[in-house]
Amino acid sequence: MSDNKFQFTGNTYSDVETARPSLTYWQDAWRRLKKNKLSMAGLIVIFLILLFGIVGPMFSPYSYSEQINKYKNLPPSLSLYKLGDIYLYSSNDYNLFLVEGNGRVIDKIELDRSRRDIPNKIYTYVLNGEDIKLNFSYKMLPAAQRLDYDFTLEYRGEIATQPDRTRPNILFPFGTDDLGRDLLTRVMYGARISLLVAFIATVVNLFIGVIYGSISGYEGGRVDDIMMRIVDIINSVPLTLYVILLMVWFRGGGLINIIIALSSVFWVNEARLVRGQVLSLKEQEFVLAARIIGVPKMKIILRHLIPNAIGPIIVSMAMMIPSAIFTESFLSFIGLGVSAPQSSWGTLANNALSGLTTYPYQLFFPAMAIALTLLAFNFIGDGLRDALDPRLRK
Amino acid sequence: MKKYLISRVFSMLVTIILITALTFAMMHSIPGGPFTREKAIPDEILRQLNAKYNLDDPLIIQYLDYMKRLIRFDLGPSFSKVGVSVNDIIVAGMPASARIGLLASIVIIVLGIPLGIISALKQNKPIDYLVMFMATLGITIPSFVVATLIIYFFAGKLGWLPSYGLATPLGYVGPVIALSGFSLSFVSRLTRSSMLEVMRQDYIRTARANGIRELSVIGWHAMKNALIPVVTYLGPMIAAILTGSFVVERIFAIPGIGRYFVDSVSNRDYTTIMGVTVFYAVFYMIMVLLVDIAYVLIDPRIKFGSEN
Amino acid sequence: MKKYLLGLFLVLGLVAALFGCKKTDAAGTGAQTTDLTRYMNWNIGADPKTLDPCLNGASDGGDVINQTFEGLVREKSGKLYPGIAREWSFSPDGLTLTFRLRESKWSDGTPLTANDFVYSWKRGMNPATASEYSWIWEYTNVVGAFDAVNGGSLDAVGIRAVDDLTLEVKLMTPTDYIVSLLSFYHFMPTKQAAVERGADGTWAKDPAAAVSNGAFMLTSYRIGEGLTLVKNPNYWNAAAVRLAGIEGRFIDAESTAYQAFLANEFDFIPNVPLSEVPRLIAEDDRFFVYPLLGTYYYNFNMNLPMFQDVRVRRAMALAIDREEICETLGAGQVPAAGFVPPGFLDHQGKDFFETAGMYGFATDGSRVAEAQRLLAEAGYPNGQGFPAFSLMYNTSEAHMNVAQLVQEQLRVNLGLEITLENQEWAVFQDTRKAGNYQVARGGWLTDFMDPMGLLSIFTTGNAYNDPKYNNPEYDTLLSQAARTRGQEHFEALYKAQTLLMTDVPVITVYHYADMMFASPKLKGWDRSVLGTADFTGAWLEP
Repeated sequence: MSDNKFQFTGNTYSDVETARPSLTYWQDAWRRLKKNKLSMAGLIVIFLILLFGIVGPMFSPYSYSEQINKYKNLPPSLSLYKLGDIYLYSSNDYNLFLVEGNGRVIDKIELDRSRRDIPNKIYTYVLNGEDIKLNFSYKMLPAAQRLDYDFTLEYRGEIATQPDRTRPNILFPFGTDDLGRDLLTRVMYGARISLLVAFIATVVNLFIGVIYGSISGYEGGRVDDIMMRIVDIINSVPLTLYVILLMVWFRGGGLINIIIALSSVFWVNEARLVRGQVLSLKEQEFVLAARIIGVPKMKIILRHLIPNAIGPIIVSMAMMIPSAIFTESFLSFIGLGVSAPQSSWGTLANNALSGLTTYPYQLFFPAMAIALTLLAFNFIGDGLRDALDPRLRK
Repeated sequence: MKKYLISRVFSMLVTIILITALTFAMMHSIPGGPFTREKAIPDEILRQLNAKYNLDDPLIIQYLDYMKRLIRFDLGPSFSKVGVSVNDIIVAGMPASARIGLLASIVIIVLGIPLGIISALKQNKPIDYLVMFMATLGITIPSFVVATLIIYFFAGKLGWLPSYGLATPLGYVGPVIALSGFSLSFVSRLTRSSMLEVMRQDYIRTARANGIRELSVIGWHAMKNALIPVVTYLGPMIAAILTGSFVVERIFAIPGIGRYFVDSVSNRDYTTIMGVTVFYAVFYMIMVLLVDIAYVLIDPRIKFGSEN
Repeated sequence: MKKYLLGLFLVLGLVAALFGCKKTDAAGTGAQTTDLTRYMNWNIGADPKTLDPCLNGASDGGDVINQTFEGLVREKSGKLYPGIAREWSFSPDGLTLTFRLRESKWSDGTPLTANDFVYSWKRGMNPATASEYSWIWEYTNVVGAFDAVNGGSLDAVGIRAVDDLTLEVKLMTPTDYIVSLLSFYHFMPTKQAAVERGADGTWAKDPAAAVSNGAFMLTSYRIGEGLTLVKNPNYWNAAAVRLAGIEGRFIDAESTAYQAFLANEFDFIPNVPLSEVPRLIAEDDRFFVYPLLGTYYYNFNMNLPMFQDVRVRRAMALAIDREEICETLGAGQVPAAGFVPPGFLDHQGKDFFETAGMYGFATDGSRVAEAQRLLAEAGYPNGQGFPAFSLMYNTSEAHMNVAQLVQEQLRVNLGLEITLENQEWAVFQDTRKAGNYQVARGGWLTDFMDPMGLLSIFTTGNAYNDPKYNNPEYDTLLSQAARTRGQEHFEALYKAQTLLMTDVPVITVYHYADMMFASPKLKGWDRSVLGTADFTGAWLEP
């Protein structure tokens, strides 16, 4: 057999997929994506979160930075003590609030500082000229004589030891933070930055990571070695050093800095993943066939290799969204990203950490938002994978 | 293959040199130095300190000096722990980090891959959704939260686990859970999706239709191919996990080396920055090489070095 | 067999219980005969950089050194107690200070003499030693000391061992606070033979090489993990040491150490998670808060045209509600009007902070109207026309909270547009030093018991004069204070602070507080007013 029996045909390639000119690959994919109920639900959730972030703050009675000092660290659900005809809520650090029976906070009740009885652990508060006594000495009793309550409230001779009811906090449905800011507003506002970061991360993964990885894997040999060693360098050089350097160079750059930082480092894992897939796929028969009939390199990559590796690509892209959101909060912490008092889900979660055991709700809501976004992206991703799979085309 | 390995080791050495040079250049171009203090050190003392650590030489000389020592595996004295060398720091911290890292890696592989396979085989069944739900939690909840909650509930409230340290076998439980959560979720999701990818291939579908016996024969080959993305992820992950985690080691008060990756930069502890970076880079690149070798074992069609 | 074993355990248990009772009885009758076999568990915090008194410059190292070394004098809660010095006296002109030492030994049993102090102190000021805290010699006013730090002759320094037990110190000017300053860890003695056993202070972390003269000595040191101290039998006051030793841990995660404390794994921890503090202050008797000698403030960049008008600066200082800030932080901080925190006694024995007063500032928001009037007078009614500026702090959750509070207060009260900017610590210091900011946070903790240590940072050319405040009259008052004692000294300082608060180069926010969690079983522990823990007289009750 002579050597030139199977020669590549060079540039004589013509589009062989002309059987169904009515629908392009992408139109077809979209048609199939629309049929996937879970994916559509995911898209709707993302749309709602987006709406929540852009429009939500406009309907909130508070701004994201407004501090209502008397209402610091109020939880989203209030245990109310009934004394006569009033309802009281006592916070973790013994601030007392007058609350309506339905959970609407009316006001903070002032502590009479001159009558604080610290040795006996009794605080006196004054409501319309009448005393309310809070005795919190029970909490520190030795375990053996512990009662089933930590403190008692006394008002007009009546003593309450157990809460009468628990009601959601109507003024602040997500509670307030340590500066008395409405968490609902801050979570809504935070969606803007965090969704943007999620979007940037996805775009970076897709356009840099996937393309870089597939070129490296497809070319192989020396090109692959050099391209992958560049990935190794990006992976090994300490990120903190790099971020500090960016901060010094582009002081006060805000969002632009986040984009620079993410697009320079965030795609490397995706690139490695895609390269591994491509290395294996390119040896399969259909790729060889495409090469033989002279399909151009980029077209092979885009049309044959990436669609066949799309499952892991999409899943890992979705899974990297929370990391991107937390990376943003790390960047902000170093001083690179958005500055306080602007919020993002990552910074809200980070700031809640120190009070995690005392005020867990401050972490719960931003974490919920991130989880919801991830789930939605996962569902969309599942549908997209099916939609883009060339084997499922009918 | 042999020729390929030799050229690969050579390119790794070049990469190490580039990494050290880049790290060195970056750490010297950011503000602050190892003797930056709120209460500033008098100029004369600063001069002496700089002279002592050769920080008054031109940067290129300092870099060459460093590389000369690096060849002899001498990572130099630490700036933030007087009289302790970076070698000592790594030797003292590595066992604790590696023990937790190894356990976490085992947990990730032993649980993550089977969970992914099960949920792929039971696609869109309750078990699949359960695994997906757990994985979402695992990816979303950062390790510092997991670690803090473990200490709060299992050490504090219930007293089942020690609050810190690795003095007892139970001490490993918390750190291993906190350390493996993210990657365990990632690996199970990745396994699931690439299993699904493989199961869609025509020959597998035919095999499944033809019965269990044929499936078990082809199934193994199919599964091997599904492992490629998982192996790609696992390699660097093992390097990262074995060299310690700042968050987990700090919260569980484990004397590992994870903390030095962060502390050294805040302290501008130049030698420690370089030391842990080189240490990690070497470890990481060996893992990456092992991944490439694993590709060939999984899929013999994959070739390196001889293409084109 | 099992029954038999069970019986044996029961008997053993009873015997043990009986012995236990006996011991407590003994403790009840004689104070000095408590259980001497007990180790206290202490979370030190971070792993100290060094345990060599001369080289140390950090509080975690200082805390350990205060247990392992003994200086001439020891300060507990602001009171001075004789240490290695039995007694001391000033010459009538106040320029010569003579210490008469007691006969004492190093932990290796060799005698400790005045020469050891001369050696250690000269080692500390010798630039070749490269001690980070050597700048403190400037404030000792010891003849030739600060020159030596800057490369001058060590022989010209006015420190001399007259004989084995007499140490003479020559001062350039009479300095009242010198004796209390000498209780600081930098001035504790080190033994030459031990120091030379390991370069760069390695000797102090090596149990085989370490020699000390304090209540405890090092027997084990584990990098990043912990250390063990045992009672030093050669300590001069060993009879008063009632702990067998100290198990120290390096846990810097506050929440972890806090949980371990609640599980009774620690007897003493230096910190708790901030969100727990307000509750702990109210309800927990094991929680202690002490004032710390330092001030938290904001620097105006006085070189900028926008802050040239004193009315603008004063308006901003007036518009801040310091009580609200302290309440939000909730960890015992004291609202600051002046720069000098509570705790300094003047020549009449009155607290400097109390006597100085408020300088027309208020700790709450009650002077907002005046602030608005001043800003309007300066040409910016309701903040209109005043350029937007940034308020800068170094990355930390507490700094961020203070900055957000101040930002909001100035926006609401004065209508000023402020953005916040944070930088990583080392970068921030660089930016601030270079004057590359508009308003930046500052903090200063002093190391000795005189307001000089705080007020002198605002003299022209001082390395810590971040606002670049420049008032010759202020410089004159401080140099006058440096040369005088008693009434004259304090009058100059009172005048200086009045001038500082009239010119308002900084907005003072609060005075720092220090907190700790100590088991009720741990008795007799103490601390220096500078915040160093002291367990030399501590013991554990059963």
